Amino acid sequence: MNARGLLKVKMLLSIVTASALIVLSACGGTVSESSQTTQKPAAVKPKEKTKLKVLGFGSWFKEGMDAVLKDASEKMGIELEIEKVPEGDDGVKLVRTRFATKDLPDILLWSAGLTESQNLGIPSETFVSQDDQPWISNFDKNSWKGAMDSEDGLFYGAPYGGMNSAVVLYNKKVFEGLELQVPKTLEEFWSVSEKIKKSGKIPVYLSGKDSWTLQLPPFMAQARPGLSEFFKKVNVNQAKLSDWSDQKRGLVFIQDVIAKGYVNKEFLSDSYDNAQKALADGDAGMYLMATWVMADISKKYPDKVNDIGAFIMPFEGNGADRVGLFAPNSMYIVKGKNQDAAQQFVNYFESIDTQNIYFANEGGIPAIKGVTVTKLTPAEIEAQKLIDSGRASAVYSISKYAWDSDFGSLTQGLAAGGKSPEQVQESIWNTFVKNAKSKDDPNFK
Amino acid sequence: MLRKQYYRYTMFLPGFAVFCLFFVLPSFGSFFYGFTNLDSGFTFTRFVGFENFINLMREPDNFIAFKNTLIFAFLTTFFKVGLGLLLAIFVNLKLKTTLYLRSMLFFPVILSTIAVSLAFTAMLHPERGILNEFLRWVHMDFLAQSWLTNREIVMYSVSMVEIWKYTGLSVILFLAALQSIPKEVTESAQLDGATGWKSLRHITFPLLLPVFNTSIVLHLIGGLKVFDLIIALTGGGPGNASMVINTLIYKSFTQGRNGEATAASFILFLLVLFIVLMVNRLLPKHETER
Amino acid sequence: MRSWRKLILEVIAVIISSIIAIPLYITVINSFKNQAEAADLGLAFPTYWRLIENYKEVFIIAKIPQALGNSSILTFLGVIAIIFCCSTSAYIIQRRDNRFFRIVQKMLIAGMVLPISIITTYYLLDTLHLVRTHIGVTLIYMATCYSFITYLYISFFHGIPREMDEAAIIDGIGHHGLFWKVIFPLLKPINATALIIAFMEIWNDFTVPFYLLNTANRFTLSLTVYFFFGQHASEWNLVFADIVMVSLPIIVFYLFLQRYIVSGLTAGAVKG
Repeated sequence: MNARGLLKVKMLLSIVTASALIVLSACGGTVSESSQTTQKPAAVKPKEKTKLKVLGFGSWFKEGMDAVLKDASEKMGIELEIEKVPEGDDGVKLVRTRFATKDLPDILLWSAGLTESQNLGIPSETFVSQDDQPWISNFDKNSWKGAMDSEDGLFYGAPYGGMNSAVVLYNKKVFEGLELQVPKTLEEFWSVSEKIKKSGKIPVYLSGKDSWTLQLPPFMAQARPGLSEFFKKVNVNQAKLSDWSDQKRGLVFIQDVIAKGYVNKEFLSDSYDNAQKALADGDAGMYLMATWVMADISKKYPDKVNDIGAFIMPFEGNGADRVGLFAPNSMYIVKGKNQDAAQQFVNYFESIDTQNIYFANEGGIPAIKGVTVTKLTPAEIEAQKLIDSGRASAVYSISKYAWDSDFGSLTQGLAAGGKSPEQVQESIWNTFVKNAKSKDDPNFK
Repeated sequence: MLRKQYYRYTMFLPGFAVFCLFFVLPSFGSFFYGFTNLDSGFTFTRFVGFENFINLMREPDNFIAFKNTLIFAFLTTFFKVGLGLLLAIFVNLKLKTTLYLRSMLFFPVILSTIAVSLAFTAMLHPERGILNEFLRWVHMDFLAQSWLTNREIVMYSVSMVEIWKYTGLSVILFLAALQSIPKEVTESAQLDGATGWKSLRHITFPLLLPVFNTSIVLHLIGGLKVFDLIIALTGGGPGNASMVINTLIYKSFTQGRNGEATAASFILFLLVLFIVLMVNRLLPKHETER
Repeated sequence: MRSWRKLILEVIAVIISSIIAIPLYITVINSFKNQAEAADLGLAFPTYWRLIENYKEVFIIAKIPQALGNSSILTFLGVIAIIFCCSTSAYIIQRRDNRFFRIVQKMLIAGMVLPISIITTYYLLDTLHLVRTHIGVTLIYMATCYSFITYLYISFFHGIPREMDEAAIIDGIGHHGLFWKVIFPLLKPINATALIIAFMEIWNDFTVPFYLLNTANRFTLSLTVYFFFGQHASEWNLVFADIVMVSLPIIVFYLFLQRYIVSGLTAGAVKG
């Protein structure tokens, strides 16, 4: 009966591969030092009960939003009717179908930096600009330019949830036990790995069963200040993704770390879950991941969360390396009869009080300044310090066409030994060009 | 004419009309997009003729996907139908334990693919998986494999899981057919001295033939269109070692080239239809036909 | 049968049963563990049996009662429509067996091969104002299951001799009476099989409710698995608990129907 049951499970399974990718594919931006702005809480007035329709990806509604919804219902008299779509392409497809047939919600939750190319209509016609709203004074617009705004330079999205960062998570007990220092150069990284290996533990854990996790090393390597400049050229066919030397460093790293024998023996069969356990238990010393994994670790191994720290992967050394940043997701107000009520909710949501409620219940690094209550783990706090010191850069830049939809399986092919870094990059560039050509882009004739 | 009066079109039509309107029409209609440059927002700007089809032919991954699909479909069909038939006859013996087995056989069909893939991923883990642990325990270490990450054997491992999951479906089809064989037929055959194998060969098999053929067709279609299990177990990996045609289609969709993906599913449709109709023609004709 | 042969067969049955049972066991046992233990997906017993906790949590988060209601309505309507339409169609197709119906049979095979196209289906239902209605969804289920189930019925009708029809006709029965009073009662095994397959198809399906029914209060059980998987992707204990809960009604239904599939109720029916 699989004769018929294909499509359904296909959708179910796109989640397996894509649930983390949806977070990954959010466009990031560069965060400079955070300038302190004065706190201006939005005017909050209870009104008669309004019902707002919200459309968003299922996994985006967790403890933080639950707490906010409760509070909103009590204080604001606003009820949200939430419609959840699944992560990945099927959810995206569903939302696009809705917008194409004018079946619109009042608030859309979507990745940051919504542009026309995402096929949800022209932003200025469909969504309400947030530039004049009170909440934005607590938001560092300049740092997020080019990542959270649209093509017309206006900000349509209000941050929803926290940012995430790609770092090396390491077990402090393992490092202390072997008297190891956090490595600052690649040579130091290899010598640290050698010592961990000699002690009988796994230096670097790779979770190749979940192929998306293998993208993190190249993501960290590509987080460099020049990224958006590079992509401006790529978008008009003046530079090639196959010449992307920053990313290549990360791909070569995967090859090297396997060749040197510094990884777990069955790195193609071990999963994201296995990695969390190995890192928390101290069976593995390091894991190249993003800070979102800390939410899982603190749930599963609450007594071991404090053993885990974070440092920047030293591909180049000399302070050239960066924490890879993933922008927070965003809330977009859809133009229509409920837009005022929706705006009221967004202003309430972005107020410091509400943000405190949100982040008291859910992990992630707030993008709104002045949030005092958070639930950050030590590893996230260390990552936040690195971000605050200006040593962070976006993992992604606005790309005109998709290139990374099968980057996970390509990096898995690399790890399995079937592909070289050059072939992986050739492949993503071919994908980009193919997509450009199918859109009749004149630069790609 | 007796027949026409008793077998009226009005009885046939309601179901068939719904089938045509709500399934054939929209599904077939969508193939039109295969000739456009449809994007992920479901808009297209021009007709591209056969460009999508030509691009697909150029894809180097296609050969391995095509090969894997055929291996998977024929291998799993052979075992699902063969084992299904044996098991149906076996559980029909009405022993104490076969009663449990009969109930048990259908559970894998019911269980969601997610659960199946998670369980098998754990069981087939090269270090900690129960299968290799068992093989080491009986000192057959040489048989212990990296079941899902060895490029050479990954397709066979995936096939094994598919066989595990869907053999139960053949079993209940055969069981239902076995019940429709009137007891008189087998009894009178026994009186004529046909017992055991003879009775199976000359009485039971011919009567099971229609269901046997149906079963082959169903499983072939299922096998050629396989997608869910592959994505869940291996994601087409390692690298592209377990790619099948449907994972290629999926890849085009995820990259936003919906026109190309539709063209690919049109090719798959024609291919599967061709294979199935060919096989259907080769199958022995129904002997019960009067 | 000699007793040693019987014993061997019994042993074989036990071995096959256990091969089938291990993955099922993994699913169930892990639904009783805590998150950290379930992450291993192992065979070991949980250190603490969360017999109720996980299920209770899933029951609340996934809003099981509401989803159960929706699933039941859709499945009930769909299954009835499918059994009714497919058995009648198949009967005519098999009995008349002329050139037209041979083409229809080829169409049925094509129908099993054809992938469902959600986008065009959505537009069609939208045009007919049937989006997000139970009727619309039922019609889609009927249409998507039609080829498969009808095909099954046809193969079964080959085994019901035409002499039965003729005997009944001689007794002076009408064409509706012939099918519903004489033929349909003979279909018990295949009806049970079709019923369980259609039930499972609709119960487990989430493509159709997802795209064509999806509103906040129209969740089905299969959608809860889907969302649970996305939202609690590493809480395998809860995912498994949800899967067990969703599968349970089908298992009960199957165990109940099983006796119609195997108990040989048609024996002796030839006499009419």
